[in-house]
Amino acid sequence: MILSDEKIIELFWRRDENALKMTAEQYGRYCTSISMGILHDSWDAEECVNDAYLRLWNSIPPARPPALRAFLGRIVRNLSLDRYRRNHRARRDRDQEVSLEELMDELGDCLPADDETSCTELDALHEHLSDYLEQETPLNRKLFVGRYWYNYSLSVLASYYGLTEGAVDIRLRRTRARLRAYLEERGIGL
Amino acid sequence: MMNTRYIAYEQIGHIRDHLILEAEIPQSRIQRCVHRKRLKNSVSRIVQSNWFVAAVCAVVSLSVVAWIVSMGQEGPAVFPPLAESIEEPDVPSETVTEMAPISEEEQIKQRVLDFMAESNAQKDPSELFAHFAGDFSVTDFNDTNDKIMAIRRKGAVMKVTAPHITYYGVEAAGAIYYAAYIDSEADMVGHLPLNGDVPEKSTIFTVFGMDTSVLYGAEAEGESAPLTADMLTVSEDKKTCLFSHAYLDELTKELCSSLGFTDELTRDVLEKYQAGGVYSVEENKVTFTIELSDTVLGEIYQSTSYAVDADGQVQASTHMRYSNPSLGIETPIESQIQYKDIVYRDGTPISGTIQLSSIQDASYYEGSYQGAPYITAVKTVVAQYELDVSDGDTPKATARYESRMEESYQGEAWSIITEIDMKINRSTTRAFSFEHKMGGETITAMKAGKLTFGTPAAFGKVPQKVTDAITDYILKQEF
Repeated sequence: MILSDEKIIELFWRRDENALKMTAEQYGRYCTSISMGILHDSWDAEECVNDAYLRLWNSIPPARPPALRAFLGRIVRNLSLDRYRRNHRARRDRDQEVSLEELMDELGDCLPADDETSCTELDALHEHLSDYLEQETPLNRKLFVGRYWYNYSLSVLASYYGLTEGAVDIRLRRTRARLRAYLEERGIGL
Repeated sequence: MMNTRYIAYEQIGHIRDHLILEAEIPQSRIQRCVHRKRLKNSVSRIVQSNWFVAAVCAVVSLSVVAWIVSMGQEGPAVFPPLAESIEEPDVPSETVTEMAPISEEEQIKQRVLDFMAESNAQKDPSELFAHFAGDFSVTDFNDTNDKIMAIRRKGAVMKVTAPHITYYGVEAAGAIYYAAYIDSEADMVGHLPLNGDVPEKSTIFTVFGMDTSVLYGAEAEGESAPLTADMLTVSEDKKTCLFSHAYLDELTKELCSSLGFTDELTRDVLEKYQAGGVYSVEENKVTFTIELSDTVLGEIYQSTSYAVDADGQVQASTHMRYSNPSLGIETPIESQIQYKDIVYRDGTPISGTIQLSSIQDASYYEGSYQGAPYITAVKTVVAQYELDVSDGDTPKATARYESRMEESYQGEAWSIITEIDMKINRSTTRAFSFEHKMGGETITAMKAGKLTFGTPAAFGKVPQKVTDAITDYILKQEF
């Protein structure tokens, strides 16, 4: 059985525990996929996904997200990243470190990484980032978000979009360069 | 101090919802991208005497797995189908909270796309049989009238059922051929088709006479018909979702192509077939039917379904019926495969129940010379296999098999009934039960033995007369 997002959210608002069941049923694989992309550990991923359900339970109400999938996905991503940090500190897992840190290095080319940035500045950055992606070509946009939001490998992106890995890499580099210029024009430098 | 590299990475997490949604690649597609291998299909192939008829049967005897496997998208040239098919919502530039929510109809379509893609990434449940294939030896039978043992080694099988009779089997030409060796003479007993889906070909089941040929597989490699949201129509009550005829046409065209049909024949099939495809939201189930009636191609009916229940277990079935009076097939040939409670682990089946049933024409000439008497025979097989390989070291199985052959010859009629029960309950100890009835005579042999998978240390050389008899039998069959 499938329920619309509105109905699931309604269940949350009514504090009906079926909301969690339906969420897990409809979005469980999606969440696990996001978490696995960061953690590469099914045990950790499962815990993060379960934590995300709890976080969702505590967020709705008062929230009424327009796109439950993205809302939940974002929670999972953040929790997984937190978990990655903890694991990284605790285990210094070199294998996992490489893939995520590669992404971080790539993003370091175009996004500011100053931990003194104020909340207001960050909000502005998020808006600019989304605005910029809106004006990119659909393919470049999907490649960028696929790579840096979902952590898809170059080979997966290449295979799915019918490109070579080299072509994906070049498109990502150019997108990052254009993003950097776009942000600098708006006073957001690295 | 926080590692500043995390901060840049975190910023991406705050992009707008629709940007996240549009870039998602279904998990099943990711698996396919990574593994880069096409899945095998199960295509029933009952009529084998005529390649043309067999090919037509294969077209319409697609099991649901075959349909679904074939329906996956093999890598769009530019954009994924989902992205093409779902209209992007109007997104205000200010805040994400003003974004229009995805409609229930779009969600259902996406659900169907995901459902089909996920099923596409799953391996055929019949691969469970592969865990019961390979070399083995069965020894230490007890509680039986006969002294029986069985050894399979590198394509040859030896079964001893009495002190002076040895049955030999040899795998060749997609079947296992049996010959009885008595007093230094060899007599052919018959042959049993092998399941093409199983890498090692014959399994412990086929060696002991269980016909699993209903599972006969034909690989459907190559590009497959892309399924996009515009090929789906959600009903007003949001309970069902219909697949368009354009999609079914594409599917059929590709299947015809994979089977080597000419363009003309493909057009002929497309003009005459009737088909339907529907997804049930409540049952999480997709069903396809196809019918074709033609003087050359015959009467063909195929119904397949595939569902994933609330526990994530796959329930599927395929039912095929075929007759073609112009080719002398007056009695419809029927086959049915049911997959129940199939449990997957990482896209690979690990347990489930597979039920097979078939009615097929097994008529034959009693002798290989010209003008040999013809025996009409209709063979009915009903079998159930409960297979569990979740613990790879100790595969478990319970098999119940019944074969009934109704034969007639020059006004006389008789039946041969074979019943076999087999239980594999531990890594080494198995229980077997055989019952063979012919006419009023019943031969029952209850046996419990010790079965060990792996290549046995010794295997007697197949006598030359047995090899000759089998070779002769195969050659005559080809003519």
